[in-house]
Amino acid sequence: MMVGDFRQICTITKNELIKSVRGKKFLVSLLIVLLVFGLITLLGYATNDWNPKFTTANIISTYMSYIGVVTLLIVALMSSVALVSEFEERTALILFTRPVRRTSIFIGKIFSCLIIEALIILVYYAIVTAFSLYHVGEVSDKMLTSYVLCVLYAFAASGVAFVISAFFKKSSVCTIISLLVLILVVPVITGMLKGDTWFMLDTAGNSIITCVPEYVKAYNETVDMFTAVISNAADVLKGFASPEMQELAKSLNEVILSGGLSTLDPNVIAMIVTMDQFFLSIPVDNITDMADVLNMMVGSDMMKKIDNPNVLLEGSVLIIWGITGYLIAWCKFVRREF
Amino acid sequence: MTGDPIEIVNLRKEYGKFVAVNDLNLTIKKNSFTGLLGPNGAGKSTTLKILTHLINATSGQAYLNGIDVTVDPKSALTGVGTVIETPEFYPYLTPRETFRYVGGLIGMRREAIKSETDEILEKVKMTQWQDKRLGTFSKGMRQRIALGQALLNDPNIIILDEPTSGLDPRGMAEIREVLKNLRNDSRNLTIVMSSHILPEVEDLCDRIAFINHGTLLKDNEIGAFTNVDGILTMMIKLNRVPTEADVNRVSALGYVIRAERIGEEIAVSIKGTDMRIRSRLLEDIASMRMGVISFKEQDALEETYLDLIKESR
Repeated sequence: MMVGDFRQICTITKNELIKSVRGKKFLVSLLIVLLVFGLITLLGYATNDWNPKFTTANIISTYMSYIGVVTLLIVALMSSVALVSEFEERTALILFTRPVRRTSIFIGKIFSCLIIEALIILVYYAIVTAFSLYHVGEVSDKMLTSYVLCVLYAFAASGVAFVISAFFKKSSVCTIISLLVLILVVPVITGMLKGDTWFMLDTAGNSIITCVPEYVKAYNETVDMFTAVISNAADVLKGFASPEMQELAKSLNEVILSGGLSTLDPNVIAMIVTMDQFFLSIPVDNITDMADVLNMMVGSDMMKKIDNPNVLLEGSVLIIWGITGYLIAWCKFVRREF
Repeated sequence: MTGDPIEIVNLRKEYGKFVAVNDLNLTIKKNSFTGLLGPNGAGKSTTLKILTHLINATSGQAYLNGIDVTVDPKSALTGVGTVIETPEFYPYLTPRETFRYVGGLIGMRREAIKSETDEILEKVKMTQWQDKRLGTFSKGMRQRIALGQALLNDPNIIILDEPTSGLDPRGMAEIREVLKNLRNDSRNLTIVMSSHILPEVEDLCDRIAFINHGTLLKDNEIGAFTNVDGILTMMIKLNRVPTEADVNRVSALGYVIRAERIGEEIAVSIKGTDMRIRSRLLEDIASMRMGVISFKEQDALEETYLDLIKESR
């Protein structure tokens, strides 16, 4: 790379930025961000979910849970068309026939996509921060870390979108495939893998929100609460189906049948008979299975507590995903013929 | 190396088993306006796309100003303006912004871009549209801008691949006019243009290179194709189908080399291209009162083109 190449990269980046800002995709991305924020807020008010005693954790868990999907949507809109559009819209006939290295064009496009995506994500963070300051009077001090991780997530997802953009011929196909891969295929693969999936794109992407301690604390408290409720429910069910309880019900039934309760008040007799019939009619095997299912739920990944992530590790994972994607895309792009 | 601005040596391009360019050797003379002629699939566009680094050659060399574009495309394309087919522009940019972008890419200074932009927009007659977004332009207007951007930084080579393809007659005429002016005004400029339109090539070019099946068939000055052996053929159409007697009467004229019936016309070959012989032939035929309704020169280039293509099959 020489000074001339660097200047050309800057020129291409600038042009791509102008193109993006004046194009519809930038506006659509901004609208998505505003729409997501607006919908969450309106639904919160409509369902009276808003607690007057807001905490930073409330704000983070309410608004930041969606930032991953929003980021993927923005990336699918902006990055997936970055390369393919030059061929599809025939602008390559002007750009590629100039004394410019394809690598310079490629780098310029990476820069412009990142700048635009970082800007749109910043808008979302700025609104959430302002909302948090207005309602809680403070904002999580990990907000900046979360933003940096989110930009790195966009960088990584953009690498995947660039690969798709380098191989396909239609912009619309690239956008759809990018969305499918990023939102569906990657999480499905992660779900199928056993053990810790720290190296997967979506797992590393989760660090955007799990890097905020307030969120982790609130999440783990919720998990604790659910675990306790489910465990108690399992214990109660198991208690109903226990041999001792069944034995007791049978003995009571014998007493009822022998008329041993005839001296009691008829209402009391009716209540005892009903209860006894209930215990005798319990499908013992099913109840035991139900209790086992509940216990399995308690031990499942769904009810696992989360830790504050190793930000450095997850950040590195995202960078590696991005670089790998860009390298594959670059190999194809520099050789792609018109 | 001959020192000519464009030199193609044993250039080959294969798509699987199909050979699009078959060890082509071609030199484009300095300051010439060379037309690249050939039927569809002859390899013209492929050759020009290799020259402009839009596709990669399988083997061979393609030199632009002495630099092999297959090895160092960035250096080779410096000083080269291109219009390949009908390129599209970023619709959100104006012509002025587009020129600023392209100028910036090729390393021009801001002031130079500004002054050249004014001059070029004037040349391609787009001054009044300079600040309108390109998305609203017609195909003809966009092609004039394409030609304009190719002129930035005063290139010494311009490569045009069917620059009037897909344009309406008005658009074609506008582009031809710009190219004609360019040819007449520029001193140090070599232009190579592929085209299907023979009158266009005849009108603009001073040299022609015939290509078919990816190889060069013939390359010469245009006069060598339009005036073969100094014989001119005139096509005469009557208000009826010509008879044997009509043909014989024309043949009997002393200066006529040959006369024959081709379809519903009589083809009359005369020696030399002197206007006086043509007018004499017209007067003589008129005096024969055969009912002449049309008298025109046969397109010699078309004839040569068809002959060459037929021979190369």
